[in-house]
Amino acid sequence: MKTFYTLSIHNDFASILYIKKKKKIFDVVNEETIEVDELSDYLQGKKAFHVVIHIEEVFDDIITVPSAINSKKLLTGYILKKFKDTLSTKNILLNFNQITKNKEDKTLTYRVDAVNEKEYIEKLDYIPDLKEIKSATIDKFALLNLSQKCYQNVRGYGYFSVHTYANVVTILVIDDKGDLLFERTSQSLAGVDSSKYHNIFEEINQSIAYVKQQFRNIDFSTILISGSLALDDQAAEHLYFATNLSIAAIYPNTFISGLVDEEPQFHIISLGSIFVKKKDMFIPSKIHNVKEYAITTLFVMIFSLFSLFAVSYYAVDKYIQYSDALERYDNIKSRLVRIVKHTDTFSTQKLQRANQYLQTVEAFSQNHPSDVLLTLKPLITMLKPLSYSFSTKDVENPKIAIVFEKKFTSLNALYNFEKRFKNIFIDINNNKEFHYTKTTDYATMKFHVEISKVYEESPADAPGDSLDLEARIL
Amino acid sequence: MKRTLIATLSFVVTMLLVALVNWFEIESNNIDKINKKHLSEIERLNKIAKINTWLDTVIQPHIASLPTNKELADQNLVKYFDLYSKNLHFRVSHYIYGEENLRNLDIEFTVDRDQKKSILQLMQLQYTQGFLQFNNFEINKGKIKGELHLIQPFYGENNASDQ
Repeated sequence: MKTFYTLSIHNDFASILYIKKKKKIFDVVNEETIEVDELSDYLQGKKAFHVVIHIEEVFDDIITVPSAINSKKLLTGYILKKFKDTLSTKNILLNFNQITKNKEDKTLTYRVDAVNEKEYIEKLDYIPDLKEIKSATIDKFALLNLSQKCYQNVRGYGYFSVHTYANVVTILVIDDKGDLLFERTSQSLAGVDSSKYHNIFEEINQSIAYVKQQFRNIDFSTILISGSLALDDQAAEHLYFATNLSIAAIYPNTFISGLVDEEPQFHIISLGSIFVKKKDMFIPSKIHNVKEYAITTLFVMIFSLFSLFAVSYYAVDKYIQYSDALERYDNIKSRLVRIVKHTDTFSTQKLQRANQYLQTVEAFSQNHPSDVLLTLKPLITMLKPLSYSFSTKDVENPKIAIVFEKKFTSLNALYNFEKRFKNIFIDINNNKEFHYTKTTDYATMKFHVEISKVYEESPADAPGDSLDLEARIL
Repeated sequence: MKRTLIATLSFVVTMLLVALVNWFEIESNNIDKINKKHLSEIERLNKIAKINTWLDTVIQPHIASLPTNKELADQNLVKYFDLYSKNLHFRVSHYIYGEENLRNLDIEFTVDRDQKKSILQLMQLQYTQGFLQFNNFEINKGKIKGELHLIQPFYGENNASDQ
């Protein structure tokens, strides 16, 4: 549910409606009229204002602009210059809308309205928070927009919208397309009701006659009345007979609640402010700046909050990682402490003795002839060795030598045996620990091979690490 | 004004959080480094524990079974000689000699190639109280000849007390 205020500032008084919008119905919750001096205090803390300001002197004109001027900035400058030439005051607020496009002389006709900026802003300054102004205009545009909202003109016909409030008569002339053609506001000076109405009718009649003369190409069908005029039954009758145009009254009660019977007629201008189109607004640059500042600060705030949120998320993620690392640290630390506690520390003497023993084992538990015989078992099975010698006299370089010898009767048998013998040897000697020396005498067909092994490494570097040693001891 | 204040506060808090994130990262890295060190220390200690167990269950019993003095060591060598001297035709080639904590005895042996029992006995020779090494081993002309080296480690009474 949307809530807002309409402010109609007329001379020294401000008429305020507090409205709640439910779907398409505007519910007037509260209505109040206060002095403008009290407006600032009254509006403190309140939000969303639709403002209508009654300006005594509104300048309007029809200005023709070459169609070559098409950028808004140039157009504003052009209109402002032309307009200022005819005005005494230099500080004005402009509002212009294109009415026609003349294709022959390539010009555009604009209807221009202007108000004294100082007078207009003085009224707006009563509003404490300018960024809360949703729309701001003068009363004739409020009336125009409400008329357009309430009345669907007959196709091809224009209409008049006549509003009377106190002794002020506002007459709008609206063409068949819904554009404002002409406007006239006048004050009746007569104090007695009967002469006041006489003057009003006179005013209306004169204006209609003038308009019909000025805009002969436009037909008018209706006079749309509102304000105090709409409350007088005779007024409608009188107008009908005087102008021969059908009479209709603005009746906003279909979309307004909270105001009953004739009450809406006293707030026509205020209610009109709700429907003011952007093109009919008078928004001074001061309000634009305030709004831009508000949008910028809103954007900065959203961006900063988003950054804060993103960084917070990232920080939480990092904190979880940090917390996990700490937890891992505690676990590992406690494991380490437990292991340190349970790992015995041997005395140096004990370790030295074990080391001495292991060195002895290392030095004396290798070079057993059975090891060599086991390795060469496939060859020994194939041919019984002629001799086998094993010597560790030279501790640094122990030597092993096995001689195989056999006499053959055919060269083919010798060739095949030799080949098989060599292949088996190659299979056994994967790590190249043995040397193969062949001295076969082919003349006598005597196979003769010596397989030897020399330990070139020092015993300390001999094959087998501590775990091999462990296995050997076991 | 309110928005500006919120935006300013948010930026300040964001900056603080960024600093905090950096701190978390640096600290996490430091902790990870320490954890890595501790893990490698644990691995090292586990290895030490394995070695300790091996020393206790395998090596220490061997050391404990060694003779506690020179006389006992010599007696072991002599007894071993007598045990096989007949079958393997043992002959002393270098009588008991020794270095610190080691007593040695070199023995020559001769076995006929036809005496399969003796050959088997020779190949299965073990000296469980110490070490046995073949200095020479030769099969030639129906004879297996060679030289054995018996090594008998021993430890003094002072050493034995802390086993």
